[in-house]
Amino acid sequence: MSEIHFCLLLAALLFAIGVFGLLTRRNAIGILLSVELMANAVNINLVAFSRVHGGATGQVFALFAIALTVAEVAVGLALVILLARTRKSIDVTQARDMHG
Amino acid sequence: MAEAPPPMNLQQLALAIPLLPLAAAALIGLVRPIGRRGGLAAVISIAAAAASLGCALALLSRTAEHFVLRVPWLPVGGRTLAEVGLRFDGISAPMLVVVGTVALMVQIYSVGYLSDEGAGPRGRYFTWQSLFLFAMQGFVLSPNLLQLFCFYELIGLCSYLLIGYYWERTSAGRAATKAFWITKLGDIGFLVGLLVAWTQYKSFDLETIQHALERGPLQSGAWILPALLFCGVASKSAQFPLHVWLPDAMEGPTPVSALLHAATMVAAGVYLLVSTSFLLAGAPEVSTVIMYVGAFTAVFAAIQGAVQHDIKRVLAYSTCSQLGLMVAAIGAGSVMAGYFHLVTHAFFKALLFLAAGSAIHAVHTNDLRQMGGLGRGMRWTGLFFGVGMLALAGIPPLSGFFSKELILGALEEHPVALALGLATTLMTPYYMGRAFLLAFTGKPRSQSAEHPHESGWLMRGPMLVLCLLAIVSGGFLWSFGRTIHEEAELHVSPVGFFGVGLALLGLGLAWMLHGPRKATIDALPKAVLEAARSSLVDNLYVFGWKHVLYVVAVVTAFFDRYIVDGLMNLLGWAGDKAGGALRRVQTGLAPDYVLALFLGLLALVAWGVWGGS
Repeated sequence: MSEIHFCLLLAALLFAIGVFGLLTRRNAIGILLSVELMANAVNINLVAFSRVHGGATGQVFALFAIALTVAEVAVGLALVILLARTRKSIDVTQARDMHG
Repeated sequence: MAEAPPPMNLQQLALAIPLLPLAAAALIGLVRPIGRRGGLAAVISIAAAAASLGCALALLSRTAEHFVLRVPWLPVGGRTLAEVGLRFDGISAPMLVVVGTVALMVQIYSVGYLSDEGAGPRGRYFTWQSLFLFAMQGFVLSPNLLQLFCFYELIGLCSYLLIGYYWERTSAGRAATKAFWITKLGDIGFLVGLLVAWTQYKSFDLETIQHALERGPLQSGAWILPALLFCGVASKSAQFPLHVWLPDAMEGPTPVSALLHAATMVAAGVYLLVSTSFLLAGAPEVSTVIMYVGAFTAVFAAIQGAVQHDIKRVLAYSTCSQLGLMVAAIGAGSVMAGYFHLVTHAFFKALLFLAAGSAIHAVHTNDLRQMGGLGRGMRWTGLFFGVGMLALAGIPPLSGFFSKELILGALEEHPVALALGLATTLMTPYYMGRAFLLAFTGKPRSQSAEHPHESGWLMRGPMLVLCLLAIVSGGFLWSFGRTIHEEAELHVSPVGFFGVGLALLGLGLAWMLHGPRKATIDALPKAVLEAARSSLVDNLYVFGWKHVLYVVAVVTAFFDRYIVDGLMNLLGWAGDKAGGALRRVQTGLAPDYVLALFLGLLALVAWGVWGGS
């Protein structure tokens, strides 16, 4: 088992934890954290493959992805603040006005 | 249709014939102050009718300059679907004069007959009279089937309005409705015929269809169009079994009956048959059917006429019977004979109705049983009725003889139809003689019949004119017919003279059975009386309505309500329920959607890895 396998295993583990958090968390901030975990799992993959192939493209791509994730978190936090203001709660299961 | 345009003044004259009465109808009907003054309405209507007749007479002498005027109508995609126009030729010219004359006489007579009526109803009456004249003259002048149909329906509408003139009487309303619906029943055939004509010939124009037929007859289905058109003819011209409206139409004022039964409503059917007779040449089986229907109607109605107590009903069945003869002659191939009889019949039947109306006006009843001996107080009326009777019986040299002789001649080669025709020739003078003898001779059988007063000159004048026409029109038209239709063979056949013998025999029978000494009301065997009065055909219609049409309607309603509507309701119900069940999927919980997203993603991945190989 070479080092790339460890990297992939770590990334898969992180991604799975992220998905688990996304599905089980009721707290909006917890959901945002889970999404971050999933995004960073992908970044680990990018960097790992970049090392194996010996080019800088993957690492550059990972940097862009991190910048984009920050922007995404900014939007996500703004949504959380709005949710807190309008409902006095950031429990996502409370916000289900669209149910059928 | 490249033709030399007809001379302008001829066109204008022909146009004026229908348009003058239309203008009169519009004036009386729409300008309320005129409509409310009966006398003024009558003057306008009569003036228009007289002017229209004048135009028709002016045209009659110029029949040789026949023309067809066509104006495009309903242009669609660069071609005209239909045309309106005028057709002036040897067929329409005499009819215009006949219709104009009878209508004018009836309108003048109506002034006297309806003098007891209020001004408002009289205004209404003359509106419909003028409209009726417009419809009939427009019909006579129509050059194509579509226009013929439009005017045909207008004639039906006007008849409805005039039959229902005494609308406050329930029976009049019912009679009007009956006439309307029975004629509509036949007109369905005409309407389908229009579609067939368009499919087969791509045209409604009579001349175009005739030329198409002359170039090459249809390979198949040539019988459909004449058969369908005959349905329309049979209803308007009261052929068995669509004749049931005609006796009931007697509910209208007597002048209306005269108009309907002489020159307009019933004549329209025969005129249509004459106009489209070229179609019959290619359909011998239809001709045969038409001939037998006509011949049967002639005898059937004659028997009915012989048992009636109502003098107007006698005349109504007589009309029905004479129409049968005309139709039979046309079916037998002699169009001229049928047309000729239509013209002569118009004069003497109008005369008979007006004379009967004069008697009714004096006695205030239609019932022959309450008349009798009217001839003493009403010499003129008796004379007119007598002349009409002799003309109808076909006694030479009155007009009926010439036309009836032609009809019998036309039927010569068809033994069964000829026998029926001869039977009618025997029956006609019998029932007419019976009506005449019972009404005008013998002793008065009621109070009101004891001192009848002769009608005024307003009523006698028109009768006198019609009386003279009933006497001379046969001989006149005989010679006139030779000048227009050189090809028509007009000759007296031995059958015709045999017919005269039968007519005299019928009159003699009437004299023996119903003469002033005996004055029997019903002389026929009891079985015949009961059978003829049992209104069997009416009952058949009622049966058909109650047990056939109603059942069909119930079944159709069931099918529509529970099968067609049910299917639609089922679809709606299923959609509603399915939506109700599926809406639970939308929980509104964000994690559920994410879960669905991931499951979908996993499914896609699984499909990409294992599936689709």
